[in-house]
Amino acid sequence: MTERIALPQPHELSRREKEDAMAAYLMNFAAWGAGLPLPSLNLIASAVYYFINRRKSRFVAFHCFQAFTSQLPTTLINMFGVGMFVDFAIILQKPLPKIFWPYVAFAVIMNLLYVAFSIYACVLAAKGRVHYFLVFGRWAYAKYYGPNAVPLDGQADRPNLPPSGY
Amino acid sequence: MRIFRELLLLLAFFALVASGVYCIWRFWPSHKGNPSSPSHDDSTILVSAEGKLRELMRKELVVDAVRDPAVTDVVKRIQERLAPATGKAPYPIEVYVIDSPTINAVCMPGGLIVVYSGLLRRLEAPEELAAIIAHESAHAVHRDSMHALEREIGIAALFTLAGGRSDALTTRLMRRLIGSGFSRQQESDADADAERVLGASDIDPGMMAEALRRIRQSDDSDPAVLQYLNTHPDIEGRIKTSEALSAAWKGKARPIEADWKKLRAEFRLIK
Repeated sequence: MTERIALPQPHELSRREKEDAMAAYLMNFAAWGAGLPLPSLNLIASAVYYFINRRKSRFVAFHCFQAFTSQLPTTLINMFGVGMFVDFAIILQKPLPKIFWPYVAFAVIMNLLYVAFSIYACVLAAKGRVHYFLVFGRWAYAKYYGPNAVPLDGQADRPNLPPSGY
Repeated sequence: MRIFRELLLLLAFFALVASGVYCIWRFWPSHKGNPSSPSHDDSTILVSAEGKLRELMRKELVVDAVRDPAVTDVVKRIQERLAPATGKAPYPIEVYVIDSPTINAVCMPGGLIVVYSGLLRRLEAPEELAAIIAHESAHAVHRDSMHALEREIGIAALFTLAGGRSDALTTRLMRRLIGSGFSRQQESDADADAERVLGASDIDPGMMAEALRRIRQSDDSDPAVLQYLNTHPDIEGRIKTSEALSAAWKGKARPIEADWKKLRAEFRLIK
């Protein structure tokens, strides 16, 4: 594939596609609460949702991929904070380092920003529109609509093909 | 590539937020000022160095400490009474009694408290010893000895020293701590904390004044007394503050059930 694939416009998308795309972000929030003590949980939930829905349509796959990858930074930030807490307070049984509380404040700010952007992207997805996150939006676009976009396995539904050469 | 530009932008944004949060935290007025405040310290390197110094000094103290049950039982009972009200120290507080004519009590790094028998000989009741231990425990909670060492020899030297296993250096460091004492502000903060702990432990906060008065009444020309006065400045002011707190205290004193006479008798036998 060498050309860009045209982005679908809101009126071209089915209601189901819009709901699935919206649910990719909602999945983050649902798993976010459960994932607070174990920050990798929401990433796993998001990955599972992405792998289940990535073949439904490019629009859904784009949003699932963006929702999944965009939470990598905040998940890493949260994991590092939890790791620091477990390491000092539980394993080493030492006072938390000086940097811990400012780090928690930083993590809270980043998580709140991420939630705000996700809600915005979620609302747009429900309307059949796209919102590009920094880096991850461009990455998702390149993956599903760019010149080297991955093929969706539509062929799986059409196993009968003409002989080669025709 | 635009994606790399966006990545740089994202990283720059992260760095900006992180440094902003750190700057606000670092320069917020509540974090300035009182160097003896427990919230002021806690740098990992300092805690780690303190842990190592604690182990080194503990080895020396365990060898020299008085092990007579008549003495250790009194100390244990006092510690049990004070423990619920004492603030959280980074390391468990341990009290060692050393037989020496020195009239002093010292807080070492890592919550190690040394009480010299010279001081015990002058005190008349376990509550007075409780006041002294509460005062030294407050130094342990505030980590005053680590701050004093950090100020004197620098954190890098401290960490290097803690990393080594030199007993001779540890002994020198202990002597330096014993001889140097703390600032007036640190002493006053430790007294305030100790008197709060005493009150909360059903011990009259005025016991601090009693203990200090007994030391003060000793012979001023005695070098042992002079050492205490040098390392614990403004004894008169401290007595007055303790008396004022005692007058205002509304609690009911409960005696510490410890055999003080037996302790005194033991120390009369020890040369």
